[in-house]
Amino acid sequence: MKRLPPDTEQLRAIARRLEAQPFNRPGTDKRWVLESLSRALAFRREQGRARRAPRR
Amino acid sequence: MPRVVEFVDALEALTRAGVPFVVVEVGGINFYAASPADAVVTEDLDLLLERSAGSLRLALRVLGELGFAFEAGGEPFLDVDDDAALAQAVRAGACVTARHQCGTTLDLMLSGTGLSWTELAPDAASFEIGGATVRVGRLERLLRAKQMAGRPKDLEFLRMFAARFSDPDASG
Repeated sequence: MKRLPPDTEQLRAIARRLEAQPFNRPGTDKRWVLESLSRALAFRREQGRARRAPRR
Repeated sequence: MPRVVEFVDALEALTRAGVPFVVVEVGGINFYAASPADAVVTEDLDLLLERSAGSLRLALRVLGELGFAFEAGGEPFLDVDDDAALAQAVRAGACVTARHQCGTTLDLMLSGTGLSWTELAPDAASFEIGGATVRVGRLERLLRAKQMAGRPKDLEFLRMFAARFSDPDASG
């Protein structure tokens, strides 16, 4: 059975807990977030090219 | 003109130029992850711009200098210096997609369901991305916006997010 979407209170509680984590203090270096997204997308693109490559 | 422009290059350039924006949607939610394993891969990064022609013009100029091309509503958006076209985009609350030939794609949003500049900007979180400070919407607001959007993909994302983070021991 498919789970129901979380309600507002549940999301709010999760958000507050995550925002309070040390790794989310203002000023934390989050360059890795953007770099890991770029790497993941580059990987996907390469996968797509490999799938489209003609068979020998 | 650089052949490869990564997200970090684009955001640094926008920040340094003083473009008023807040990172939103899944790309913004990812900023609150503890590690890459907790981040969700998204095809593009969504930026909510201050809703003004000046902000849009500056963003388009900065990204244009980096080699991005623009489209809105599925059509090329070429009027990057046309005051009337920019004003119309602002009035319509348009979303201008900035796409680089290397694949890096940004959505420049002037509006969005549950995404109001006047609500998001004042309490946005500030994070460093190396040499610049970017502002990211508060997590609670970004999750709420997805809830309000209510599309199947938004609700599925929220289900997955809640399943991953409902356990306090799983948040880092």
